[in-house]
Order: sequence, then C-alpha cells, then structure tokens
Amino acid sequence: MKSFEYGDGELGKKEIMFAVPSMVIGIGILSLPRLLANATNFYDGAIALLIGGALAILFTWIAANLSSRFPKKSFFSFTPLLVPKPIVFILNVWLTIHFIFFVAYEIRAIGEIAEQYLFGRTPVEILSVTFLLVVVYSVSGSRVGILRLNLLFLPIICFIAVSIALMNITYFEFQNLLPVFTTDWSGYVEGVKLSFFSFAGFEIVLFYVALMNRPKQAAKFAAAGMGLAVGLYLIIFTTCIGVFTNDTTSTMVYPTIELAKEVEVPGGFFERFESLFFTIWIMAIFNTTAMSLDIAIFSMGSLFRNMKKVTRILIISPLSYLICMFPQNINEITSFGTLISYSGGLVTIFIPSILLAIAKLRGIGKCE
Amino acid sequence: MSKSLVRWLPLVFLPFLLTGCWDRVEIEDRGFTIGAAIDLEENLGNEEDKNEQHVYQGTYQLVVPGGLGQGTGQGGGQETAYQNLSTVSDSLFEQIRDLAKETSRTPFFAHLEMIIVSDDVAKVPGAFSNIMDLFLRDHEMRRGVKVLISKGNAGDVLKVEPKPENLPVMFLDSIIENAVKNPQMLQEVRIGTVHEYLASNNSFVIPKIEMNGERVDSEGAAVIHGHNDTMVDFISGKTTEGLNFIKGDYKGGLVKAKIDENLVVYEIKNAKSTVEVNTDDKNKIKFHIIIQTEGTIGESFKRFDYTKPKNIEKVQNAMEDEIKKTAETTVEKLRDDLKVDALGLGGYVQRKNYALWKMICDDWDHGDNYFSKSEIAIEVNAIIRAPGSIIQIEK
Amino acid sequence: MDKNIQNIKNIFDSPSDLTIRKFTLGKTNINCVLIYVDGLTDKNLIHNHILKSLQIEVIESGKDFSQQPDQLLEELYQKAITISEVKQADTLDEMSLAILSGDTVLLVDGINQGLILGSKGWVNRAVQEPITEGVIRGPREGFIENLRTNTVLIRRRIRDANLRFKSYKIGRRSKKDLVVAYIEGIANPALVKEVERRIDTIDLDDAPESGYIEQWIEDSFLSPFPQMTHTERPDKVATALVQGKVAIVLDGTPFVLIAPVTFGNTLQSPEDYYERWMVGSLIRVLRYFGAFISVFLPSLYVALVSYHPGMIPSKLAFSIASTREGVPVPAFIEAFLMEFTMEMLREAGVRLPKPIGQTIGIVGGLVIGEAAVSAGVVSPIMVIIVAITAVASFALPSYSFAISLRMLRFGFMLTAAVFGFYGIILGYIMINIHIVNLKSFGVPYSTPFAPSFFKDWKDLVLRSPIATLSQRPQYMQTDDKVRMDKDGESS
Repeated sequence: MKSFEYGDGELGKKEIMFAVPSMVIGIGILSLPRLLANATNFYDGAIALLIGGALAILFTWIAANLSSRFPKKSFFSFTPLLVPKPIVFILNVWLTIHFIFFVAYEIRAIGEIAEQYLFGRTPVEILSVTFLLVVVYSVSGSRVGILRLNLLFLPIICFIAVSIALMNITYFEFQNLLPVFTTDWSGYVEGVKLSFFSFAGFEIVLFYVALMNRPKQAAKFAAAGMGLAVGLYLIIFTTCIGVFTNDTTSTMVYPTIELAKEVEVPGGFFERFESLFFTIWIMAIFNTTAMSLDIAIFSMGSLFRNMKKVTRILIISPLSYLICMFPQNINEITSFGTLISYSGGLVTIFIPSILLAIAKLRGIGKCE
Repeated sequence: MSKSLVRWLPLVFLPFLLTGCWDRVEIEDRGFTIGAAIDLEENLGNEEDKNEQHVYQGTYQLVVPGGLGQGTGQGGGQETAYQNLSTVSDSLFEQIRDLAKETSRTPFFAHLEMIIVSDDVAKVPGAFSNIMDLFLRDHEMRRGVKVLISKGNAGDVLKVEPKPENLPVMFLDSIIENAVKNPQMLQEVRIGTVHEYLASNNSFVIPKIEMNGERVDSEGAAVIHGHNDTMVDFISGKTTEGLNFIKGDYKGGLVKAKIDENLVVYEIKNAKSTVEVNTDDKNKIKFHIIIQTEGTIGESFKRFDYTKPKNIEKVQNAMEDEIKKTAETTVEKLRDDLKVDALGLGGYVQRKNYALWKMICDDWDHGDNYFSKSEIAIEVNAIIRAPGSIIQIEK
Repeated sequence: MDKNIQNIKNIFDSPSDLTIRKFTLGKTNINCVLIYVDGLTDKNLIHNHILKSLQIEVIESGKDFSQQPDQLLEELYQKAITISEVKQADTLDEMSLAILSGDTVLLVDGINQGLILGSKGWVNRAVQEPITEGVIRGPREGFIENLRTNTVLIRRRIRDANLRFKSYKIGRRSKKDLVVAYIEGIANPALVKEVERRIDTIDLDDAPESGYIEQWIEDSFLSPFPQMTHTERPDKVATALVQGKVAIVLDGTPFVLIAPVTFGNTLQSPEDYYERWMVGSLIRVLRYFGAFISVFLPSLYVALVSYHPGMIPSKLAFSIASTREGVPVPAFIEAFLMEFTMEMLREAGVRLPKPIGQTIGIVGGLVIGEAAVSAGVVSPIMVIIVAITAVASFALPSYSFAISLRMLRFGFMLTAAVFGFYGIILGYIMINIHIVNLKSFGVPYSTPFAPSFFKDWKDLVLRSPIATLSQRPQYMQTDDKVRMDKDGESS
C-alpha cells in the first residue's frame, strides 16, 4: 500500500538538538581521557575541555546559522550562491571523501573494541561487516528516520554514561583532582586542540538543517545539543581523573571502558558492567556512523546527479569496508583517526565561518 | 524493487555467520579460576635463568561446579568443589595457557577473586609490577580482583580448609572482608588501586596473609617502596592499626587502656584523620596529623560513674594517649626504620605546594629521602558518645 | 409478472429456502407476489405487516391503475404497507441482492418495478463480554457478527451528531457491508480520505474477517508489527474515535479495526483509564517490562551463558554451570527446543475446548519441563526462563502485538547465538530502524517517542491523572484540539 505523508512532520528543533550530540558522542570519548591526561596535569584537562567545548559550541552555532539562512536548501544547494562553482566542486569531493573515510574509521574501531571487550577470537572483519550492514540498512530507509533514531537512542546513552559516573562515586577521591592550574601553556594548548577535534562532528548541521521545516531556531538548539555533549564529556573526564588519578588514566587504552570495569554493583547483581556499557555504546557509535554514511551518500549524490541512491550505497559501502581494513594495528588506526579529525576540523572551522561571512557581507539568504 | 534488494542484503549474509560462532564456549565448559598464587620457583639448575627472568610457579584454583552440591543433586557432595593446579614459567601468560594442558576446561578468569603473591617474589625488584601486568592488561579480568602478599609459600594459602564455605578462595575472601571488624588488618586492596599506585611513584601497602599451620592469619601488611615497586618488609598488626588511624581507613575496632590499674575498653565506631602540612623548609617538612575518633565504652573493669563529664574526660584522655602511642609507633617504624612513606603523606605536599613537590618528588622516600627528615606531629581527639546500656555494673 | 418470477427463480435456481407467495391485493384482483428467503427474514414482520396489510387492509381507492402502474406502487407505498424501510427497485440485480440480504421483494402484475421491503431478521449471538479482551473493571459488552448491532453499540457511546458512518460493499461474491466510522471535526480529513481511498481499492471475492481488510490496506506487509489494532470492545472503539482515529466495522466479524496505530498504543489498554492513575501507570510500566522480558529474556540467557559468563555473579555462574553439566546440547539449541515446545503447547491450548485447554497448558508445561530436566535434556534454569517469558507475554493487552514479539524473540535468540550481546544489540538497532521507517496511515510508528511530542508523553508509559489529559493526542493532528475544559465542561 502506498504510504502518504500525514502526521510525519519533518524535522523539528528537537531533532537537531539530539542529532548533534549523537554525532559527536562516539569513539572519541572512549580514549579522550587518556589523551587529555597525557597533555595536562591532574584535572587541568577539564579546563582545556571547557575551552575546546566552548569553541565547538561557537562553531556549531555558526554552521547552523549558515544553514538556517537557506531554508530547505542543503549545503550543496546554497554554496553555489556564495562561491564560484569550482570551489563548490572541490568542497563536494572533499566532503564525500572525508565522510567515506570517517565511516571506515568508525567501523574499524568498533570491530576492534568489540573484539577486545566482548569477544576473543571472532575476527574483526566479521564484526565490522555486520555493523556496516546494519548501518547500510538504516541508510537505505528515509533520512528523517536516521534522525529519529537519534531521538530514540540518545537518552539511553546519556543514562548509561551518567550511571557509570554515579556508580563510581564510592571510588571517587576528590583529592585526585588537586592541585589545579599546574600545567604549562603548551599543555593547555594541546588539550584544547584535542578537545576541539574530538567534538568535531557538528558539520552535520550543514546538511540536516535543510530538512527542517522551521529552521529559525536551529542555531540555538544545535548549540544546546553541543552543550549536552560537552557536559557529558566533562562528567566522564572528571570521573576518570577522580577515580583513577591522572597518571593511571594516561596508561589505559580506553579509560572510559575501564571506568565501567571498575563498577561493582552492590549485591553482586552484575559483574562485568563494561560489557553492558559497551553494548549500549554501540548504539552511540551506530548513530554516528549512520549519519556519516548518509551524508557521504548524499554528497556523492550531488556529484553524480543521475545515480540512484541504491547504486551509491552499493559503491560506497564496500569502498568503506576496504578502506577500514587497511590499517594494520591500533597505532595506525589512531593516526588514521587523527587525520580524519584534522580534516573534519578544517571543515568545521573554516568553511562555515567563511561562508557565513560571505553570506552576511553579500546579504544573501533570509535573515531570520 | 532494487530498494528492497538492498534490504535483503543483510539476510543473505546470515548463513555465513552461522558457520562461525567463534567465541561460543558453553558455560559448563569453562574452568572458572577464582584464585591465583604466585611463588618463586626454586632454581631448576639452569644457569641462564639466574641472570635474566625469574621463573615463577603459579598455583591456580579452579572451581569444580559439580562438587558444589547445588542444582539437581547430580554430583554427590563428596567431590571437592575446587581443584588447585600448578604450572611453572617465567611468563604468567604462558602459565595460564599451560593450565589448559592439565584440565579439560578452558581456564576462565572473569571470576578471579584474588591474587596472592609470595613475599619472595615481591622482594625481587620489579617482579611485583611484572606480575600485575598480565592481570591488568587482559580484558577478561576485573579491576576488583584483590591482591595479597603472603609470608611464605603462596600456593599453600590456597589449600586452606574452607569450612564453612565451599571454596578456599571464598573463605579467604570473607576473612579479608572482616577488616571492618579488625583494625589490625588492612582493608582489601583492589588491583585497580594497585595500578594507580604503580603508575605513580608512591609507596603503598598491601594486606598480608600467612598460613599458621592450619589457620590463616591476615593481620599486618606488606610495605612496597614506590621508587622501584619492590617490597621492603612486613609490618605488624599493631603498626597496621596505627597506619589505619593515620590514613583515615580505620573502620572500627577497640582500644584498651588502663585507668587506675583497671581495664577500660573503648569501642571505636568511626575515625577520621586530617593532615596539615607546612612546607616552608624542605628539609624539615612539618606534618600535623589530627585523628578524630568517636565511639562508646565497650567494657569497663573500672567502676566509673559515666554520667559525670569529668570521668568521661579522664577516659577520653587515656584513650587518646593510647591511640597516639600506636600512631607514633607506626610513624617511627615507617619514617625512621623503613624510611618509606606508606602513609600517603607525599600527596599532601603535592597538593599544597606543587612547585616544591616537583623538585623533591624523586627523593621523597628514596635518595635524599625528605620523608625521613620530616617532622610528624600527631594529635588525637577521642569522643565517647555513650557508655553503653549500663553505667556501672555495681554501685 | 410471472415472467419476472421465473427470472428470479432462474437466478437462484429455485433453492428450497426461497419462498414465493402469491396473493391478491386486498379487495382488488391485482396479483402480487412476495419473494424472500426463509431464515434471513423476520417472518412475523412479513406476516403481520406485509401480508396482512396488503391482503386484508387495502382499501379500494377507486382509482384505476391499469393506465398508470407506477402510481399503484406509489399508492401502496403511501397508504398500504406498514413497514418503515421501503425502497423501489428497477433491476433484477437489485432485487436479488435485496433478497439475499434478507429483504422481501414485492412484485405486482403488470408493473416492471418492484418494491423492496426491509424485513431483515436472523439468528444472532447475544452481546456478551468479549472472549479475547476481558477486563476486570469496565463494560462487558462486546461486538457481535451483525453490523447493525455493532454500529449501534458505537452510536450508544458517542451521541455526537458528527459521528459519521460511511458504507461500502466489500467482496465481489460476498458483497459484505463495511462501515468506516469517524467523528467529523475531530479526525483529520486527510486521514479519512486516505482510509477511504484504500478501501476503494479492495478487490476480493470475499472478506470473511476484518483481518483480510487489514492486510489489504496496511502500509507494510513485510513488517512483523501490526499497523492497525483490532478490538472486540466498543469502549475501545469509542475512545479511539474521540482521539481522532478511524474505525472500520465489517459485517460478519466482531473484530473492529482501528487506524492509525503507533507503538505506544500497542501497550495501552482501556483498563488503564478505568482505574486510578497510580494503578494505571504502574501496571503500564509492568507491561513495558513484560514486553521487554518477553522478547529478550531467552536471548539474554543464551548470550550470557555462551558468550559472557563473566557477567553473571560468581555463585550464580557456578550454580548454572553445575546444573548444565549433564546437558548434551549447547545453550541456544536448548533454548530453541524449549521455546518451540512452548509455542506448540500454546497453539494446542487454543484448539482444545476451554476447560481442557487451560489444564493442558499448565500441566503440559510443568510435566514436560520436569521430565526434560530429570532426563538431563535441558537445565532447570532454562525451564524457569521459558516459564517467565511465557507469563510475561500474557501480560500484553494486544494479541497481535504479542505474536509479533514472539517472532522477534526467536530472531533475537538467533542473533544471540551467533554474536552474543553484540548480536542482540545489532538486532535491537535493526528493529528500531524498522520501526522508525514504518508508518501506519502516515503516522510514524515510533510516535510519540520519535518524533517526540512531549505533550503525548503524559499518556505513554505513565498515565497521568485524568484532569491533565485534556488534549487530544498531538500526533493525530486533529482539527479539534481540546478534549475537555479545565472547568469540567466537555467540548
């Protein structure tokens, strides 16, 4: 039976507010405490996190503002209004490649971590491919559906993140956070750099605000969503340092998961809480990957206007899989991730700001 | 139509996945290992081993579920519920893998409750942290595994008669949890905390366990020097009690004092300590430790009218003296005798004066040993809340 | 006239229940004939109001009707026939359909038209409490197989002039009556139009049950989830209509369809509203747990036992291991066997007569379970799990939803068997993807979780006090928003 559009409002502000943290919260948070602990002393990473977070919120606001000036137009529809065609083409190609690589990174990372914490002998290839298939299934549905999944999953993710923080309270020692302000400037700069890049992911507003039917308040809500992500990161980082001390945190590969390992539910009801934690975290990573794949396919669609969606999916998915199997060990994966986050950083910082400046100066786009 | 083709893709892959199930190991095929004990293997006469790695003997306690006597009573109650297996190697990982040669079940460590390291091993420089490495690196083990150091052979501890429990490790586990009642025992130390200690350069203490014939004795502790993570020595139960007072880990216990030649027992419900530090002179860092306790009268051989504040005052003072004596003995032992800061006092310097700490941290209890040059003053404040149910036994 | 009679006889091929009664009109000599089917008609009505009126009480009017025959019919209509439902029929098709529906056809010699007199009456089931949807507190009326009675039951509950019943005839052979009910002014007109559009496309020989209709007009036939609810309770239908939904009543079945339906609706029951809000909320929360257990418990068991025994507390883990010592099959085969047996027992229980059915279910389960455990084929933990799962699935108010969950349970067991927790979570994500993309008559299935209409959350998991439920569900986008006034006046 043909379905028809009734009662299916397009995106509202809530969806955007939930979409931003869903994209940002993913693999990064698992190892971020270690990187921050390496760069700074004791609890000073929190300050770097706050500054990086504030910057991220600012740029989210800029990007969302840019998109909301052109209602119903996606990124590739309004950019030609601002810059000449060749630049748009370059951006298009760059973004497509960026997101394809991002998807590859995510599926590889999840395969690795699942293999380490949930299984022992199952090959990473199989874990990655099953995950990729589920993501493909989600992308082949409607785009709005993907954003609705964010609404469904984000509360669960926040709940579990807050519960590990709460359940570790008995191990939390406030004195582990002191003394403060002992790091030198280079440490802070490094920390801010790390935090900002781990908050990358808000470039999705460039693409999803187009689906909103009333984009006027998009910027505010997107920024609020980013604030949620920053808050969550802060809670986890604080708990890591408080429970483990800075030195120990810097020796763990995934401090966040180790935090879940520490939890001992009174009464011995559960033992390996980290299995549960990681299982739910898979949902967070799924959201990130689904949105990335969706944008990759969408970007490719702007390049090859006549290709059907199915064909695009069938090209990009195996390509991502091949790329993901490329790195040989965890260090290569990490550097792969760093490279992608730099690319993402450039996208998120420069492109929206420059485009917004152009739009404002030339007076293009509806002023909301 | 092609859209539904994409939707069918996942199903097409399904049969391939069924051929796998790589990690499926049924629960009854797992050998639950609940305890590990590491001893130094007597040299087998191989000269090359002497200068390089040390060879360890690991004794592992596996559960035999059928002998637990629960379920539908298929196994008789006569089987022992556990099995101790030993393997020898210089690598713990290899030891664990070798276990699989001796038992029909794959060793499974997720329920590992405790690790006992013998003092011989702990006294070898670097050996302790080497042993902890596997247990932290492997994701199968939890961070809540308890760590103990045994005086004498560690494997023997696992053979203790477990009555009334079923398994020796569970028996030991409940003894250690009794630290709440006995202040001469150190509170349990989880391997997660050990990781924190090892990662920093602080010295720390690990609970001690010892086989006294058939009985298990768990008073006292082992002191590990933070500088090279090697055990220095054991400290006695009394010293441990003082340590607990100073660190604020005292969970409950009693203090005996003689008042006018008669015994009075003060039962402490809880105690806490605050430490103030003065870092003006780095060669003479002053610590002021205030211990506060509150409790009730446990037993009084002295006929006292406890309704009179003056009497209470007297008893409190006597108790304070006792506690102070205990604490000072500990300080002497640690500062003057062993010269190791197991009290965590370095942390206070770190928080108070980070610039100074950065300079002296390498020499805190090693080298120049600023710790041993420090002054530690102890002040005790004991409060008696109530005399119990009766005031005096006879008027 | 005789020719017409012969024609009608030919159409039906003279069955024995077709009654043809010739008579003359009153004091005239005009020949008439009554044709009806014995059993479908109310004989009393025919005898007293048709035959009697026409044979005895027709008064000579003095007009000569041989010139204007249709005037005769008009005269009869106005003065002679004392029945309320009278229609004129021109074609044989109309007449034969009327006869089959239980009406009587009156033919007059010399006139080509006939009159259709309403005389329906046949054996009906009494209105009793619905078998599949009993409640503890609430009305005990349920729909029966007669369309008119069903619509009456709805009308009695909503005495609003805006309640609309649109009639359709369904089935090429069965020509059943179908009524689409909605309240104009509340239901969104686009929804009503869509429902009507879909019903217009139905092309079946026969629709013996509303299930046929449901499957024809639902959005996605591949989905394991039902996209329309069916119910035997008039109070449920009335509530749905007031919320702005559309009901579809089919002659011949007591099950009335309600569209659209969302995920939140499947776990709601009218009883939640008849009890007070605390009770209603807690029971609803219990139902959510029940649904969760009913889907996930066996797969969680399989995943824990085969893949992640580290998560089970030590003592329990040892105990499970010891009880599984003698079991020859791996955990997931054990789970499949037991669940499969349970499903067969359930199916068997439905077929058996009521008193035996209940006992067989319990005894069968216990006995088979006990025997299986003693034989060492399954472990006792498995029996416990299967029992709890079965009990949890009975807590769900919607039978079709419970069936969907049963299907999903097997799916999850399979994923758990292959990948443990990873499989369960990927399966869960896949189900969510499906739900998010599923629409029921244009309303996304996962409303009001996503898209979130916060105002609708008051009635979702917890049921807020009656006074706060003053607005109609937002996702229905009804024309008339407010259900009740704070001052107590209904609008």
